[in-house]
Amino acid sequence: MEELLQQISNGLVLGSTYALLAFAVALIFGVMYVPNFALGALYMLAAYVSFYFMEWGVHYLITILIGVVIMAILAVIMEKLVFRPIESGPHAAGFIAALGLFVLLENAAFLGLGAEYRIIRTSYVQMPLEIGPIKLTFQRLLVLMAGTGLSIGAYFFLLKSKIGKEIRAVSQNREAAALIGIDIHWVNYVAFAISGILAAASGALVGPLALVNASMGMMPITKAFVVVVLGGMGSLPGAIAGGFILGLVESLGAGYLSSAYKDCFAFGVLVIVLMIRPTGLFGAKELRE
Amino acid sequence: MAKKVFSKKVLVAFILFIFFALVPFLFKGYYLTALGMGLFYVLLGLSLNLVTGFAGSISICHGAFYGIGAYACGLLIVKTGMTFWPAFVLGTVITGIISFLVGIPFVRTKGPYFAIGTLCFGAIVSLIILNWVSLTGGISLRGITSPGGLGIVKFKGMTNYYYLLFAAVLLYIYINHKLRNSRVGRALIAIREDEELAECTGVNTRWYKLLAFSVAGLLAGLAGGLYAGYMRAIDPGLASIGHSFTILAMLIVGGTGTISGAIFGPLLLWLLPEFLMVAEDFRLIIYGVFLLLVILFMPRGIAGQLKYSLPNISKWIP
Amino acid sequence: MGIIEVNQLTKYFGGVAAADGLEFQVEQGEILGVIGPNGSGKTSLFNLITGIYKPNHGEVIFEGKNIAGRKPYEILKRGIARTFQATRLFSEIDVLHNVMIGFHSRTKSGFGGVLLGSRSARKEEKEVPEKARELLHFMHLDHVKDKLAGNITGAEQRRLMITIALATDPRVLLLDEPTAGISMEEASELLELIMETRNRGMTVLLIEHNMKVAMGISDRMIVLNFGKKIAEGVPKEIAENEDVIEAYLGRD
Repeated sequence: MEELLQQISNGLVLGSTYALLAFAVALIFGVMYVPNFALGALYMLAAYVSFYFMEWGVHYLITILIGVVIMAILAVIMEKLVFRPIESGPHAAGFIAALGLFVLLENAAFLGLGAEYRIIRTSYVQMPLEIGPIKLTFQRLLVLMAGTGLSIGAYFFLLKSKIGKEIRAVSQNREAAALIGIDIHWVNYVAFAISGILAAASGALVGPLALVNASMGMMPITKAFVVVVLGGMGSLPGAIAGGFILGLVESLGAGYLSSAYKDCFAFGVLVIVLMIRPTGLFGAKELRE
Repeated sequence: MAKKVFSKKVLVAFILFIFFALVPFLFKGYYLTALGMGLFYVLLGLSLNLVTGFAGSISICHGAFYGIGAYACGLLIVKTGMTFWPAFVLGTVITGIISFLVGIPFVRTKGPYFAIGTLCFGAIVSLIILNWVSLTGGISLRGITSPGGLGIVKFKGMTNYYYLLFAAVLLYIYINHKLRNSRVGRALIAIREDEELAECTGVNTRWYKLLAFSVAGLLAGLAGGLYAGYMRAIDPGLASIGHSFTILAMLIVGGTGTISGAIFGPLLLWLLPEFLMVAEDFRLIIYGVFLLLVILFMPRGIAGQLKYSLPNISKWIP
Repeated sequence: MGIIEVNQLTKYFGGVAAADGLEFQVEQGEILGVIGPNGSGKTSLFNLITGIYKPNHGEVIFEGKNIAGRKPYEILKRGIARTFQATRLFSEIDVLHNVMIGFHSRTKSGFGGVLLGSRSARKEEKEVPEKARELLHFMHLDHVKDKLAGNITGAEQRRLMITIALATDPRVLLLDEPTAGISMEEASELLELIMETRNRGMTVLLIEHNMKVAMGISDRMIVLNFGKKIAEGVPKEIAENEDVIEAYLGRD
C-alpha cells in the first residue's frame, strides 16, 4: 500500500510535467493544426538555461522565470519565421518543419553545450519531505504544485480572458474568426508564447529531477503527442487530464511491470488506441459519421 | 506518332546508369565506400517514396523497418547459424509481414495521426532493440557473416558489395517507375492529392495506403539485410527516431514523389557532409537546416521544384 | 420501382435533422431536380446516397439493394457517381491524369500485375488513356488535357469534375450545383452536355440553385426544406405549389 501511494505520488509529479507539455502542444495544434515537435527543444533549452544561470549564481526559481521568458520569445520567433510562411500550404509542411526545428536545436545544443549530462543542484532536491507514508523531496512537491497550477491556470486564462476566447474561436474556425475581426496573427503569437512558457516551465521544473542533456526533450515531447492524440487533438482539458494519467500509468508500470520499458507504455497505449479509434479517444469521429 | 525510344530522359538516365555502374573503377578506398554507403540511403529514399511520395503519408518509422530488417537477418545468422542469403530472404519477408500488420491499424488514420503513430511505433522498436539485450545484444550485434559469393566473386568489401547495392537500387527504381505510370500509382497519387475525393472516385484508400506502407517497409527491411551483411555488426541506432528523421529529410530535400529526388536527395545529404569531412554530430544540424530551407522555399524538393518551374529542364530529368 | 428508392432516410447532427424521413423514388433515365432553400439538406442527401454520411435511420435502395452506410468507393463501384458543390479536383496533376484516375474502379491491374508487366496490365495502360481522351473530347476539354487541373478556367474545372465522374462509368450521376460560379453561356453548354449523357441512358440527380435552370432541365423535381421533402412533381406543378413558394419566400 505504501509502495502504491509512493508510485502514485511519483506519477502525479511526472504527470504534471506531461500535462504542461501536452497543453502546449494542444494549444498550438488547435490554433494552427500543426503538431509542434519543436516544443521539445524549448523544453530542453529551458533546463539548460536553469543550469547555466544557476552556475552564475542566480536562484533556481528566478532561472525558471528567465527560461520561460526566453522560450516564449523563441517560440514567437519560430512562429514568425517558420510556421507563418508555410501556413497556407499543406499541413504536413508544418509538421515536417517542426521536426526539422527540433532536430536542429537538439543537435545545436549537443554541439554548443556539450554532450555531458548536467545536474541542476537546487537545495529543494535535498530537502526531504514526508507526507504520511509518501517520501517526497521539496522539489517534487514544487514540480507538482507548479505544474498543476500552471496548466490549470493557463486553462482558465484561455477560458476567461479576451485573448483566450479569441484563441478558442480561431481553433474552432479560422476563417470565421478572421471574418468577425479577430487578429489571427496576434492570436498566433499569443498561442505560441503561451506554449513556449509552458514547455519551458516543464523543462525547467524537471531539470533538477533528471539529467540535463541535449536529447532530454525527445521522449517527453513524443509522449506529449501521445497524450494530445489520446485526449483529443486540440482539447485542452484532455491534454491536462491525459498528462496526469500518462504520468500515473508510467509510474505504476515502471514500479510494477518493468522499469526498462517504461517509455514503451505510452507508445504502446497510443498504437492500441489508434487501432480502435483512428481519431483518438475523444477526437471527432471520422468523416463517415 | 511513334514514341521516340531515345527521349531526353532516357538519355540522361542511361548516362547516369553508366556512370554509377563504373563507380568502383573510377573511385577507390574512402570515396568508394562513401558512395556505397550513400546507396543504402538511396534504397531507403526510394522505398520511403512509395508511402510518403506517392501516397503522401508521412512516415517517421522507416528507420525502424530498416533496423528490423537488419536485425532479423543478423539474428538469424548469429543465433541459428544460417548463412547469409537464406537469412536475408527470411529477414526481408519477416519485415514485410511486420510492416503489413503494423500498417493495418495505421492506415485507418489520417494526416497527423498517421505520422504520430509511426513516430511512436519507431520509438517502440528502437527501445525494444536497445533493451532486449538477451535477444539483440543491446548496444550492438556482432558476428554477422557476409554474403556468400557467387562463384569466385566474394561480397566482402565495398568494391564487390557495391554491385549488390547497385542491383538493388535498379530494382527499386524499376518498382517506383512501373508503379508511377500504372493504375496503382495513380490511385496512390490520388490519395495524396485528396484522400476523400479519391475515395469518392472509387479508390479503396485503406487498401492502397496499406499496400504502399507494407511494400515500403519490406523494401526498407531488404536494405537493412544488405546493411547487416556489409557492416557485419549492427546497432539499435538504425531504428532510432533520429535515423528515421534523416531518411525522411533526405527524401523531402530531394523531392517527394519523384524518382530522381529519391535518389539525389539521399546522395546529396549523405555525400556532402562526408566529403566535407563534417563530424557526425554536425550532420543532423545540416539535415535540419536543409529540411527547413526546402520546406520554406522549395516545398516540392529540389528535383520536384526543378520539374515544376522549369518544364524545359524537366524533360531531362528522369 | 425506380433505380433509386429512398425510404425514411434520416440523419441527425446534434439536435438538427439534415434529413428527416426522406422518401422518394428516382426513375431510370430521368433528370430529377433537387431544390430547396439554403441549408435544406440537398447536399446532405447526396452525402447520404454516396456513403459519406451514415444515416441514423432509413434506406437507400439502388437497383434493389440497400446501400445506405456503405463506403463511398463501394457505392461508386456499384454505379453512383457524384460531383461536389465546391470545385474539387486533383489540382496538382494534369487533366488527362485526373480523368484516368476516374477509370480506377473499372480496371483491375494490381501491384503484382503492374510490376511483372502482365499482358492485362499493359493492355489497360494502353486503353485507359485512350478512353480518357475520348471522354475529354465528349466534354469539350481536349484542348487542356495536358494542363494542370489547378490551372484551367473555372468552367473547365467544373466540366472536368463531371468528366471524372463519367469516367467511373456510373448509371446514376449526382451533380451538386454544376453551374455554380460560371457564366450563363458556359452553363448552357454544360447543361447540354448533361442532357446528352441522359440521352445516352444516364439517370441524373441535379441540385441547382437557379430555379429557372432547374425547371428548364428537370423531368421531375423534389423540393426540400429543413431536411424534409415538401413537394414532388413535374416542374409546372412545383412552380405552382404553395408550400414551395412559402418556403422560398419565408426563408432567404
